[in-house]
Amino acid sequence: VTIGHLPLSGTPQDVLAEIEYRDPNGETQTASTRVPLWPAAHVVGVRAGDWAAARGSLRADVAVVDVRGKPVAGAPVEVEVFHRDFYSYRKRLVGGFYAYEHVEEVRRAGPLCRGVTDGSGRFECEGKPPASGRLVLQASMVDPAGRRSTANQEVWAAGDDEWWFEARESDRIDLVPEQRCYEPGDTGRLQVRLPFREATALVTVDRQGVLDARVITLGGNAPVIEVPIASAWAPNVFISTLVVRGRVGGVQPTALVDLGRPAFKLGIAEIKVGWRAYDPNVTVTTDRAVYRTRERAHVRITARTATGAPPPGGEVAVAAVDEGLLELAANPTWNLLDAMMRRRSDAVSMATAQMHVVGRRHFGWKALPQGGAGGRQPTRELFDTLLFWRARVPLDGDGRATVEVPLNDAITGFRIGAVASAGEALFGTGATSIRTTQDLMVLPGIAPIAREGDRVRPEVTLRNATDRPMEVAVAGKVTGFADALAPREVTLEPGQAQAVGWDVTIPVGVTTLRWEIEAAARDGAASDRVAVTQTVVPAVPVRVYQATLTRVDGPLRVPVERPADAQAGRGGLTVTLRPTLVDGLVGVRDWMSRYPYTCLEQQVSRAVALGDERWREIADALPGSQDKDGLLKFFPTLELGSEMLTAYVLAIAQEAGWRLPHEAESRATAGLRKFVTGAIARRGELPTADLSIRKLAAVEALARYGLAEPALVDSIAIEPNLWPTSAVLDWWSILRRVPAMPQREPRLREAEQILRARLTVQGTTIGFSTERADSLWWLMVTPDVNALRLVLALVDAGAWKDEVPRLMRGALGRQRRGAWDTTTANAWGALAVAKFSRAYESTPVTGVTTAALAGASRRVDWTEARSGGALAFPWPPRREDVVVEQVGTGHPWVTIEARAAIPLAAPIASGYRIAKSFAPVEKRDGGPAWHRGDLVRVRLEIEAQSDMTWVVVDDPIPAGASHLGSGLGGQSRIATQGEQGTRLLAPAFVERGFEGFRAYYPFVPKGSFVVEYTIRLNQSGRFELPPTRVEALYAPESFGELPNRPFTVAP
Amino acid sequence: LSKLVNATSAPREWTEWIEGRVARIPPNRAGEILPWLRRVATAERNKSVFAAGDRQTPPVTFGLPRLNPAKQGAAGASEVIGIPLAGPGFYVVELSSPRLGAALLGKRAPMYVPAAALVTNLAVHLKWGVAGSLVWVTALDSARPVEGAHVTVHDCAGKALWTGRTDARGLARIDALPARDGLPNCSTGPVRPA
Repeated sequence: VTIGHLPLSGTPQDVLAEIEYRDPNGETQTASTRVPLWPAAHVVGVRAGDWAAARGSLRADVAVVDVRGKPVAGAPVEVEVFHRDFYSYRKRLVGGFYAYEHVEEVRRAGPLCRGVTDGSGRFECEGKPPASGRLVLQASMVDPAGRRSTANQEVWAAGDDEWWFEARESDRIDLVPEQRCYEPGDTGRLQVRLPFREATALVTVDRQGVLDARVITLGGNAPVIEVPIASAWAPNVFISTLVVRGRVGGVQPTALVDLGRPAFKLGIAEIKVGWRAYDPNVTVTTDRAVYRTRERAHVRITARTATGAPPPGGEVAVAAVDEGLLELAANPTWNLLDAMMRRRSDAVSMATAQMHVVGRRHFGWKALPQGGAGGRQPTRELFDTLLFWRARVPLDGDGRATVEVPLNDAITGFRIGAVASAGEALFGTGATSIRTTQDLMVLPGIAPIAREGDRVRPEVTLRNATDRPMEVAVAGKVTGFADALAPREVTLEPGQAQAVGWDVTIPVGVTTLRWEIEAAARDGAASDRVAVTQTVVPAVPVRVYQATLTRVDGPLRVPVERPADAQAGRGGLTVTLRPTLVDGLVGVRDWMSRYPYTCLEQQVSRAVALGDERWREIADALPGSQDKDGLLKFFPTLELGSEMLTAYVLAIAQEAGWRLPHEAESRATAGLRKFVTGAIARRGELPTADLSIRKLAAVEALARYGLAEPALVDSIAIEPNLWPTSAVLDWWSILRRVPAMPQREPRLREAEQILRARLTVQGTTIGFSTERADSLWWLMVTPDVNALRLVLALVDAGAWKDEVPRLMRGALGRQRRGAWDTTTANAWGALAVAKFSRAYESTPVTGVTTAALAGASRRVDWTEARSGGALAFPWPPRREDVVVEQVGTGHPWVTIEARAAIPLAAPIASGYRIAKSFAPVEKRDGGPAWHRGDLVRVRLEIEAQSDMTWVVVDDPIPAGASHLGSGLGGQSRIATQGEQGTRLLAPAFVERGFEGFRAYYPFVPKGSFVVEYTIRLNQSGRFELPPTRVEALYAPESFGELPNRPFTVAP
Repeated sequence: LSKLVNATSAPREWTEWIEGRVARIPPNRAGEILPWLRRVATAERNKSVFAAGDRQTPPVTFGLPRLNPAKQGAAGASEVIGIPLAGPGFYVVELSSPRLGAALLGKRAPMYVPAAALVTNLAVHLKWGVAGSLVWVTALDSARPVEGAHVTVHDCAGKALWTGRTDARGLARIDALPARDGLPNCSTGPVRPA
């Protein structure tokens, strides 16, 4: 490839080049490289020597190297001096405003010296600069072909007289270190650009506190401070100089102006301090570079400190990791020292009372330099490709250790890394790479997922790693397919790789496919066999479209009929019988376990409703989801947390009897307290006057942890009659939990009366008269949540004993398709039902329950099956009744669920209208068909009919296609340029999965917005796609769906 | 003031319309300075800053000097006058005028204008770090460090957090001061606990 018309430049540039190739896994990868573009065959560099205190002369070190980095001798170089000045002035604008204008002026002052480089490519010169003040040294040279290369550095050169730096309006001065980096033991020299003739200076070394302090006198003739660098200062410190000048004699103050008044200035400079002393040199060697699978690699590790001695009492941690994993994302956690030596912030603020007396602007917070980095948690999640891990291998007296690494079946490269540590201050890292290989390899390129009904051509790549030709027979079988794959014969030249594929249709009704591919050379000298498991997801999922949960009090008849548009042969009826209601919440558990979305609230609600081990995992990760004030964030990548989410998580965890990690709990409760007292503010996503409601929810959560006192509600106007029902429930709970509340008894009675007055019972469901105003979707509250929290509170308080069973049934009556409307409602519901079951259900179920449909009859015998059972029926050909009867004591709970796979025929726009289009980013030809390897930009235009918080856009991609833009290695940076989203509407989180693209928006205003993403088509075939869906997570009636036609990709 | 003088048709002596009062808090009662600063900052024009009645610091009426007759009469003329503040300490000065009240408050009541001033030759500088803080005391006139100065660090609610003396270099090291979150929050309103 030839690139012409490169731009000319005097300094080195980079050309970013990317190539694409198809790897044996069937994915198209991008490899990139940067090609340096040199201005000339030789490159010049310049450094100014000891300039801070030098006077009258200036030294320049010039070096010339060629493009390979080798020094060039005898090259003619020239050093010139430029004078650089900045002028700032204030300009008066119309209306009495002022603006500052800055002008930079650079002018040639004259030559400093010229000469020829010595044998090591260096040239040193010293001369009297043609000007003083702020200077730029420019070294330039011309290579034999006449091309010019230049380099420059800015210095400050003193004249012969007293140094004079102008006083500026601010109370800051420049403090300029001679070098930016020092090693321990060096002496750092810093020039103080002092605008006073004489001053007393407080020189401190700061970092999170004052490390060292000295008081010195600075004079105008050489205001330079010298600081010996200590090794404990690594990696960085801040040198701060506060200079104070006394009253200047001879200038008498007048009533209006005091020119000789005492003055002060502050200068801060950061210097980096090297950590060579803490960094031992670690080398890792193996007995061979290439192994066969399942062999053992012998690894030798040697560690030496900076002085060459073995580190005393050292040990190493050794890991062997698949290099493919490191390709995707490099692992910086091995560089322990880098992680520990992360730049520290100053965290010292400066105040002076001098201006109280002499009248000057004060500068408390402004004395802080920009903060350092910190707090990035190293996360290690993918261990699948970890071959070997040993945390502690002691080093012997000579600083050596040996380990044996057993290799697995993967044909890949492994990186063996050793992280050495000794004592509390020595940390070093070393690594080496090995490869595994075998004579004949089968590299499967089978996509990780497939959809039912897809017609695809999965491929495997065969590679001959020997130096002789090979005739290979390939055979394969797939569990779940009726026939074995057709056998193939291929001839492979030495070193050749060839792909073999089969056209298949993915069957309906399976969840996984296991592919086993076997290849053997005709002569029997080499063979290989691999097995890959592929997940199969439905294109039209079987969903519950109707469900009834009720108690069997007498013969129960429920009419059922197969929906006309349902796919034949899928779905059916399930009659589930359970002795108690808590076991009978089949629909809720089913809904929750299928729930696809993953923000923190949804993860917590899922864990609560499913009551499983997930909570432990979520709790351990909670600190990563807390913001600077301790509030929990919906996604860890957000900057600010939400008080409503924090209140919800704390409340539901307490209700479920779970604990947060101690530190996370105390930070979260402290954050909520700050929110309630007004020390921190959080803007709601929807601008509305709901602060009192949000504060009540926060106080309620605090009250559950015994951390609420009456003063916390002081800032809330107590008007329960005007509040939405959720706030009344919070208020009632606060009153019950905080005994010290003033007027507690009358207020409790009032809250209870309000709830009773609002409650309405209609047939088998309950509701609230204020339901229309109770849907606070931006606070994750729906009427379902209120109904369930009411039942929970009543069981808790032991109130309204006779009515609770009826209310519980009424709350169950609110379910649609076997579940309540939102994740929060289902989580509260699961807890309410569990509590209700414990308090009210004591009669055991005995005898036999039978269920009959269209002549078929099935039964559950409670003496055999104490926990009940699930009875499955196929769809009857026409409308029929399911009849359930119980003979015996007790009343079992029955759930009748009707399941069907109903394809979406037309778009649904109940709040969101979706339009989808595809545009080529890179296409093999101009025709209408898509080909394997093409890049497709998917564009979704969504029209929202109202303002809404937490909206998710879920768009499926063809099976086997891969996303671009995830930031992992092997992807093109050029291809994702120009992706459009609306700038003001950024998603809080984007999931790029095998199945599709999902974007979560914290707030979507009424109007249109655009989402774009880019995928690569890695597989040819005809791909089924489920509908694209946009939904409001806390207002389930707002959603939009768009059916997707099958997507065809030509080979 | 000059407007007020100019606005009157009768050129009577201006000191008849204005009364000046001053209260001094001596250096040994430095803890009272913070409440006074807040009182001055939140003072209202229709109420005297001394109205709360602090028996320890009774305000003293002081005489106002006569204006320079040569400067009188010209449009927009103004003159700066000195108020005698004797000896180091913290001073609260208040001028009050029924005439100004009638003109600006719209009723026959005096209007009050307070100000606070510190008379000292000491400058104190604080470097406040998470781990380790430093106080430096210098003399304002000579800019030399001051040895043996008493230093007290208060929070804004007036609670003393640290007290000590400076060494020969004017320095006093403080090992641990509370972090910003651990301090009360006082704006001009009521003090809020941490």
